[in-house]
Amino acid sequence: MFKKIQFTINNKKYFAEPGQTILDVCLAHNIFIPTLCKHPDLSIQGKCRVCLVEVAGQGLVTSCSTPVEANMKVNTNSASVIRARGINLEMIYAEHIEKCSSCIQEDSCPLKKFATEYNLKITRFTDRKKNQPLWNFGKKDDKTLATKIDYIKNNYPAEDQELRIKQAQLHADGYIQFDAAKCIDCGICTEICSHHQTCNFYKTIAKGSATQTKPTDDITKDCTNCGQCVVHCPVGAIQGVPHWPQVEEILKNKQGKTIIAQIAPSVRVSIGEEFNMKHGQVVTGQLAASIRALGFDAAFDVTVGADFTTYEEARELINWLASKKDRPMFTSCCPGWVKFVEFYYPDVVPHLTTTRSPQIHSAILTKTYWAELVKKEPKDIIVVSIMPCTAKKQEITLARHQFKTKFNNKEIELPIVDYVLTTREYAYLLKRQQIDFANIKSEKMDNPLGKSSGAGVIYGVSGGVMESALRTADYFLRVKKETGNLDSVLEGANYKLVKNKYSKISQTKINFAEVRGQQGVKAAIVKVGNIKLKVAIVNGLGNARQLLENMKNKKCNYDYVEIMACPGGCIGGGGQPVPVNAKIREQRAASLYNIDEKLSIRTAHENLALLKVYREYFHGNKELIEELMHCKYSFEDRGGYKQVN
Amino acid sequence: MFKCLNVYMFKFSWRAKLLKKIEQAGLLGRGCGTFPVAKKWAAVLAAPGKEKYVICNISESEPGIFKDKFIIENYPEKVIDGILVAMDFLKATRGFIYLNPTYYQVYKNKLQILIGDNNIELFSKPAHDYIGGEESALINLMEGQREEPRLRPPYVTTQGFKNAPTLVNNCETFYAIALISQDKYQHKKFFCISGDQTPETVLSLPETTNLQDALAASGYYPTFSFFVQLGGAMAGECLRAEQLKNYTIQHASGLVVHQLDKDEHKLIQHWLNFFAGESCGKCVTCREGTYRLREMYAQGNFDQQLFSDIIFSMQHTALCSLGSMAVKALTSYYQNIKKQPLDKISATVKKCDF
Repeated sequence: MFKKIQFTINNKKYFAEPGQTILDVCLAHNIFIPTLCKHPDLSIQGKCRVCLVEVAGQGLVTSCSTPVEANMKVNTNSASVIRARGINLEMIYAEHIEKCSSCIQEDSCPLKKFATEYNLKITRFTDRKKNQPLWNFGKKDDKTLATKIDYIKNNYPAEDQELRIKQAQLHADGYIQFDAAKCIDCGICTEICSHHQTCNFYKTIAKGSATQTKPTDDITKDCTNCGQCVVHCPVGAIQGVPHWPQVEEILKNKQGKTIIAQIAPSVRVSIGEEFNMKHGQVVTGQLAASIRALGFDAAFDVTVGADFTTYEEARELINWLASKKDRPMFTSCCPGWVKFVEFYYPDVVPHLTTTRSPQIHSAILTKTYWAELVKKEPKDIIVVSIMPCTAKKQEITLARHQFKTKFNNKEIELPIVDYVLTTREYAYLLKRQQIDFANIKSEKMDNPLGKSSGAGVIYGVSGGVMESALRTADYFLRVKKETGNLDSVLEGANYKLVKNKYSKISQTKINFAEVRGQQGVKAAIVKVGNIKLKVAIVNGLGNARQLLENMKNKKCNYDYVEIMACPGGCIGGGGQPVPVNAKIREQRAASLYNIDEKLSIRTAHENLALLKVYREYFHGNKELIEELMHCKYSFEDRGGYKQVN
Repeated sequence: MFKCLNVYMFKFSWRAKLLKKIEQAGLLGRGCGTFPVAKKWAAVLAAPGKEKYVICNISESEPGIFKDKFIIENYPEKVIDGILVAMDFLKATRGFIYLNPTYYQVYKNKLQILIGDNNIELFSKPAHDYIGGEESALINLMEGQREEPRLRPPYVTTQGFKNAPTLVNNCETFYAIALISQDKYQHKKFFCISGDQTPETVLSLPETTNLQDALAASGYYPTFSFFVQLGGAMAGECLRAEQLKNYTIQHASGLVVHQLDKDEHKLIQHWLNFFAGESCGKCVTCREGTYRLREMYAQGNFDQQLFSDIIFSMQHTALCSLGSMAVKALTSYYQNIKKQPLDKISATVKKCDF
């Protein structure tokens, strides 16, 4: 039992736990202290020197790094504090070029806030970094793009060429953009990339005012596009490569296209934050309404795609377990994780499930099944994903996620998903179009790809994919036991209808509490059907690397492992609103589980829309299912980076 | 109970006796921090950890200071003795000597022979820089990390190299330790004198010698009007000739003589240029402060209040002491030589390019 430490802040008595810093106590008591390089997810940096306070006898200290001592007298607003903090902020301000009007993080920018709050004189220094470069991570070389453009010119109908060429240019432009002219050298990106995600893609070079944080030239390192640097950067210097300008343009001039928006599970519990709603507020209805208000032709829900993913992945898992294939089977719906495996652990690629990800499933059904329903050409449907993720921008450009369709007896290759907007980009688009998101009247998503089970919803949280797959695997195992195979699954047999025929088939378990929670690594033994599975759920690439190393060294082994690149899963994704911290992630996660609890249908195999597709579109055709729902991994080059200005 | 017994046993151990000797000698670190050596040693000894490390710092990056070079030239065996005493004292199995790249080229073979079978490793780095003298930056360098100071706490005495308790002392400190442990210590220290019309001289003088006597002892007491920089040609504090007898050599390793009629602007730009180039770039105050001071001063006509605000911030809010050291020469020049308040600094008289 430790004794509490008594001390004073601004002449008022406070108590601290041993080890607490001055900043910890101030934050807990709502005493405002400005911070830039301090992020609750990270270790203390002490680089920005703006969280200054004056301690009697010690002078000015940074509150983030100074532990409270007994009888300390802290002043958070003395003349010295104001003088030094002001000048330090002013010098930081002069590092950061103000492109506020075109910055999608304008509303959450602490620099802008402090400038007003502390009445900074922001013009006394010249912008010393204004000529610094802009780097795009993953940008393709000109030759690759030229080949693609030639293909479009030779194969696409004339009226489509302009749009598709622009799109190809965007897809070749890379996925993450680092604007060094905005960087304030706080080192947070390097810290998160090196110590949390263990990718070491950032490097700080030189010294003095030549100090520069930049992507590395080391060819053994690559960016996984997870976007954790993006959500942790305090000044918006790092962003996903923007897709919103082309989306805005195409919404204005549709050129005869049908434009579909599809929303990822976790966006519904996070986007409200961009409009000052509370953390984790569920805004599915507002999302559907806002999509239509922007001029999209339909609002589909990726949670439905997630049900397809679950259905296929559970089937794959059961076949995997019955086969002699090496275990474990890893999930593959997180493109950051897939890139991580492909680049850093190519030996592990055969362990990835071949099931495509929910955004791809949802979009491919839109361009095939739905296109047939509404009698449209796939090439005339544009799918825009609204994602919590920057890596999804990379996923849609992969060769394995393009599909071929026939038009005028000519085969043309189309991207399955055309554009990816991050949650932040979508919110920015709404703000630009002056759509009052907070007060818009809720609407429903469009059918048939607009209503999912609860299992699809929890995809947005670490452990959700696992839980969804376990729910369905539990059912499939019983079907298999009862009928000897999974043919009825492939045929989309309706659970409720066959219940009488296969009387013993029933769900035994819905909630798998052991796979839930925000911890970086969870391991459990779960019972599905009659078998016990050793499972692990991991979030964060550093934890993933640790697990892979442990497995390599035979310290542990599993049957089925879910991995998400971002802390907490997609709710903590690289495309989500800023700021983010453990508490905010928890609130977002709780909201997703809450939606799941309240739904009457909570398993993928009970989703009637899904079963209908299997019955009426797939007809048990294994080849078709394989082609649309699964992919083959192939080596992709290192993305690296290129300067673009 | 066992703890009491341990404390009781320690009182009679040779370690306690040595520590007592160092304490009684009043030995202060001979780098530039002048931290009490006994206190540092006791802290590393008390820090929990199976593995402990001893590092001898021969970075000597301040221009105008060359006494470490003099010591390894003349008394290298004493330095190694001192390191071995420290390793023994801490039960450390590995010791290190860091030499700046220039010294490393010259002395590595000589030192290697003297080290012999002892587990002391020599190391250096490709290019010379200023921040290497800072102990946590030095440890970062050893660990292959970016060479920049660490945030304190934790101190390197408890979490230094590889997160283990680490003793970092200057080479002269180890030299003094060797003498103390052999009961030959005479409360003397090395002192460097150099500057305008003053050849580089290293003296061994009693710690209490004042600067006037030290300068006289060198045989080069200036015959012209002069001022000195105490502590080195970059970070040293400027003092008038009349102030010399008020300071002893205890807290600095040397002084640099300047002609009083030296071009003020050239000198200030020289200091500002040096630190703008040598700031490690980690914290805003030092990285931006050194840059902005240089920029403003070079422009000539600048906002004096803003200039002194930056200096204030550098003195009080930089992450390591380099921030305050970077403006020490400048501020003391104004206070002691020009006798002008800081916010009246002006560079408008004339501009010069450096």
